[in-house]
Amino acid sequence: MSSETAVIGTNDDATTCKYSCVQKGYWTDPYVLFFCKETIKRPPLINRGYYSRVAVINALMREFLKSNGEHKQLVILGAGFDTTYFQLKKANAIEPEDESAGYKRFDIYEVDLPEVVHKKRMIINKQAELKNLISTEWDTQVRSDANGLHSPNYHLMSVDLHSVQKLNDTLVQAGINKSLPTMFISECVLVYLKPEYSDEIVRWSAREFPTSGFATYEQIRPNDPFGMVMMDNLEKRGCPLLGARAYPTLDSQMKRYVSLGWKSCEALDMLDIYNRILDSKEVQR
Amino acid sequence: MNNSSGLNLNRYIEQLHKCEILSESSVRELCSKLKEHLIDEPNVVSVQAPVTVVGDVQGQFYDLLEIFRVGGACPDVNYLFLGSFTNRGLFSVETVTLLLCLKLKWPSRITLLRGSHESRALTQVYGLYSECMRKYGNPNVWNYLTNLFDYLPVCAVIDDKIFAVHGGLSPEISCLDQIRVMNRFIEIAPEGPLTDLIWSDPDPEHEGFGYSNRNAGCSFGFTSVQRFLQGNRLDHIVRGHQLCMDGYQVLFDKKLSTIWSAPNYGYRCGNVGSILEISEFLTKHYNTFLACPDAERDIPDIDLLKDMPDYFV
Repeated sequence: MSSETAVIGTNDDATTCKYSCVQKGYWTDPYVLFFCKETIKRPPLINRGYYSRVAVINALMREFLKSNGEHKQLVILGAGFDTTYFQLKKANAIEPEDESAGYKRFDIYEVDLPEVVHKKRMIINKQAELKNLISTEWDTQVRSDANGLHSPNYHLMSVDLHSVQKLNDTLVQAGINKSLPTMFISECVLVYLKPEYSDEIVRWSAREFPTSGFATYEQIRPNDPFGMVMMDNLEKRGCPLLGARAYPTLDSQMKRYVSLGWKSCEALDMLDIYNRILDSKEVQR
Repeated sequence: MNNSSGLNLNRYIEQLHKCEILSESSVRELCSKLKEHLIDEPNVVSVQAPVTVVGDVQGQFYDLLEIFRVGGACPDVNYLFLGSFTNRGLFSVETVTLLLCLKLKWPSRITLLRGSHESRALTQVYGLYSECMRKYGNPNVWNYLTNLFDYLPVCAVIDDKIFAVHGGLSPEISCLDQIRVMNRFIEIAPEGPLTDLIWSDPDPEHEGFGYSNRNAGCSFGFTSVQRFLQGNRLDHIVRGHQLCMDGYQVLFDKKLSTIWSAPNYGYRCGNVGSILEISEFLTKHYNTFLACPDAERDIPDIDLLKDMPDYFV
């Protein structure tokens, strides 16, 4: 039985784990602590796993933001307490003249369940540092209400991903420009939906955004011994991986995106990423 | 012989089999009596075959009972535990105290070696300390147990042929006599030969000694194993310390076995457990078993959302 509370709980879990990594020096993120409910030290295995996850998604985002094109968009599905916007904005603020350090113009659209969006808005409202990164003219440039928060470059919106039409309409109303290069990110999000819903999102994004990419990080292999226990444990926890059985392998994931309208797809497992793709000096450190 | 005067070990063992913890004073007495015995046990224990070797159990009490069901009850069967009986599982206290009772009652039928988890540092991070606080309301039992862990021997030799240790080899140890003269009655140090014995891992990709991925110990390859075995006239190394999905792993031209005895490790890995049954002729039988079924184990009243195993979610 899937419980919305438990799925929302995965955001708190991920935030705590990310802060555990930041505390240990795996990466810098001065903003994640604002969003942490509790600070718990996590074992090295968890820290390294999160390091790999964050490193690879960040690398893809940064490559996208530095690529050709003057104005880009990031759509972060199930964003939770993601601090990407604040980190990127800060990087641009530090080195506005240095093209190699900063990024060209970008807008970030974050969507999540109402309860998460509400909590994030409340936290942002209490932190001047976060507010300033969103806008230095808060009263005139920012609209923050029960539906979300909108500013010139940052939008935080409540959307239940079960309705791709609502997702579409909310983004359009927020001002998204479907002709601009857009990157979609799903970091342990689509897998919590039944495949008929997550497929709709994958299909819609390919169809509506002609210049775009989609980065997904999620669990696979539900049928090996570890996977079977994991599926069982997460079901008991109330956040079952409803999408994992439909796309259990790297191969089936690649075929999925191509069959739903994406031009090409590459899929790697995290061990491969850790051993081959990530910066070996950083991994050593 | 009456090592256990004043202690009703039979009653303790019966109580523990029902997964009921001993009183704080009983644990204190048990540890005190066992130290008197262990102080005479050498750093390198001589064990006679037949013996059944058990790898990491890690607080998985019901799976320990499963081991006795699969392998045979102690003292009908001789046992050698490779260490890491504590932490991670939900019943470290029951697991360790049962093993200590069995050791005190039948000292020549069961050998307990020190594993990486039998340390003050790791028990504070990985479970025993918080379990003691939860079950006793104070850290005294944790103190008694961790003080006792300093007395556990670090390795054994079965019939002068099979070397048993928790982790593996050390670049500073080529000869068993070097181990015999060490002072083992201390907390596991961050580095050094004793630490290597408890923390090292085999590395099939390299030949000699190298760095470990863990915070302690080193890695050792085929050449290191061959040299050690030849130099000490041994045939085989049996060790634990590393999770094996199939319960065990044999490496280096069958010169080394890793035995892992905690099935469905951490209540999430879905792995099989194994024990190594060594006959009087030193033949080896890797006996595998699954985790004790949920219906036959006590699942404590824990906050499922908070205490569930870690996943990337």
